[in-house]
Amino acid sequence: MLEYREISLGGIDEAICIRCTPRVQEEPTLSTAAENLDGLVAEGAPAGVLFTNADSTELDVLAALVRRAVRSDITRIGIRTSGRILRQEQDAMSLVSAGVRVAEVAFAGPDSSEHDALIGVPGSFDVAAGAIRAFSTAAKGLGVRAAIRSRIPVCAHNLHLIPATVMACAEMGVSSMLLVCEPSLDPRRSVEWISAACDTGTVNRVWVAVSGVSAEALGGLALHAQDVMALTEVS
Amino acid sequence: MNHGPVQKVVLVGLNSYGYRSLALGYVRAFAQADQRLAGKTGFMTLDLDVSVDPWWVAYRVAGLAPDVVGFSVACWNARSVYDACRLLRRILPETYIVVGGPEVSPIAEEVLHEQHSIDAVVRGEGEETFAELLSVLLRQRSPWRVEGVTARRDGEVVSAPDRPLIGDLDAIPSPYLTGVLEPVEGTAYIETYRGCPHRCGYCFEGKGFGRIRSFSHERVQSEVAFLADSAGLGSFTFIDPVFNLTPDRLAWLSGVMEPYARRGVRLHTVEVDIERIGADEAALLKRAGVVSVETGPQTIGGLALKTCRRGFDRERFVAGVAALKEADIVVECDLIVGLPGDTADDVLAGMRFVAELDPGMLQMSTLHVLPGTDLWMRAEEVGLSFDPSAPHEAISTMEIPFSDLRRLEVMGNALMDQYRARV
Repeated sequence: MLEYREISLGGIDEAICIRCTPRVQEEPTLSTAAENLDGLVAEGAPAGVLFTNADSTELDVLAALVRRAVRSDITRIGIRTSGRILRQEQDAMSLVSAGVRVAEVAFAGPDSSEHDALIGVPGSFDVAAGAIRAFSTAAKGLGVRAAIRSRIPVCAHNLHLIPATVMACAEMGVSSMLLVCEPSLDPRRSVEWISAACDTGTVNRVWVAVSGVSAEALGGLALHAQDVMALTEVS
Repeated sequence: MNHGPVQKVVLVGLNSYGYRSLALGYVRAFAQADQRLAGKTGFMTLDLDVSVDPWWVAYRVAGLAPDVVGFSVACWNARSVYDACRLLRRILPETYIVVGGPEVSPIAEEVLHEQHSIDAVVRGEGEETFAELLSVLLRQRSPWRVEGVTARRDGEVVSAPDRPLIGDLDAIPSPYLTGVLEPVEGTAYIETYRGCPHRCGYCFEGKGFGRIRSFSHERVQSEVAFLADSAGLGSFTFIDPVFNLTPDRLAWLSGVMEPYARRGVRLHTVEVDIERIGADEAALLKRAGVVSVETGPQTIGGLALKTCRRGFDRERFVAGVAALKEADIVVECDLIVGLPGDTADDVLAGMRFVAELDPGMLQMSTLHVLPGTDLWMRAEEVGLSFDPSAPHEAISTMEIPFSDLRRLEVMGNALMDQYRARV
């Protein structure tokens, strides 16, 4: 629906299950991210961009990139983060001031023990939860409208935790969520858990979109294949 | 009802945050000017926020010990009004409790059968009917004889015949010029005509009035001038169903507003028929000080449009939005979820359509099946299920089951939230 182009800042995606996916340095680097942004603008500024792996760069560098996007008439700017780059309130404030309006924060589990174990980084749940608070406070303080999403990687190791994770994110005040299902997940085994997660979102008035599972496999939950953010990677 | 030398009347509006009830302003201004009531009836208006607990509403009203209390009822405040009335009946057993407004008017008899604390319903346009009802109560005559009133007679519910619409709207004194109503937080609400040229199946606007009647140019001009010169007035909100009703009227209103627009007075969220807006009309709106407009499409699904007797010309709609954006006017596009005839795919297509237009604002709401509307009457025929209690939200349609309707609501809220998040 709302078009966003994903621009990777390189580095490591810290918010995935360490047992499923080994940590791999991702290309491109920061300089190619800027080039990708300029390339998009040259084609005609996209309505939105989402800078992914935002934690892999320095705050000032990211803020400069965001300002560059604003100068290029891009009005919807988001970041995907494990929370680290937003954990300090002044950091969140400087990114919101630069023009970030969407924060997509990753949660693999409903609490620190589960999340930290899955991600393999002690304290990462508290960092992610703190990022949501900091971003929300910064937006309110600056009087701007901002949206907070959570991104929930779903694999065989956390499938049974997904409804509780959705509940925890809803309580933190996110307005939508995206379940990113591992391709290796067997839909026959996972659909009951995904269904419970989607319904948990609905009764808490938070939209839960599902990626990585076909609408057919979702059956009666086919509407949840729709995300309010239409994300396209920049190749 | 035994009252003292002066009949005390309290009018209660349970409004959206920051609003005052223009309807109660009209009703009071008209009654205050009625010679039959002069010197014998005193008025007080309580404009409260709908979120105020009904116990506190009752507390405020009880403190005034009125002989008559009147509530303006819409679908979104009905539950609070009924709760307050139930309490007031116990606290003030002698007080005559009257309700009016679009929620109760078309279903007056049902309201009195179900809400035992209410004595009477004023149906239709309330100004003349309420004043006459007060006059009848003052003389201790039978309220159920008053045209436009549904009331109780010896334990039965009785409806007097309908009252004709007021022919000359200028006969209603201006609530602003008479000092009954003042701007709220720098904003004044203005009505320049009643009725609607459209007959959308979900809307009460056209249904309640039948034809379009206008206040005179002189009346509108004097209200605008008076308000614009009030201290601190920064904006007007026109509640007219279609601001660009006709090209001539748009040009005239633009001319009326222009001097004030030059002084910085702005018009927010006027409703427009966007398919009749091009560069010239957008320029007239800009000249009038319009900063934002509200429009449909409500749906882009062919069957729902047909069922709701609504038109939609995609090219003209897109052109209208483009013209307004070019004039730097924000467009709020509204979509209704749950219209009969729409499938979930139609609703999603509507969301994609308005998101792609990037009008400036999106508003998605669930269908409320309002009493007296075409959809209310044809609900069974078109397979529409809704909550019979206010605010009458759609439960399901033939095309969209209950669960998917709730999912679409939640998705719509997420889209609105996400849409607003921009530089």
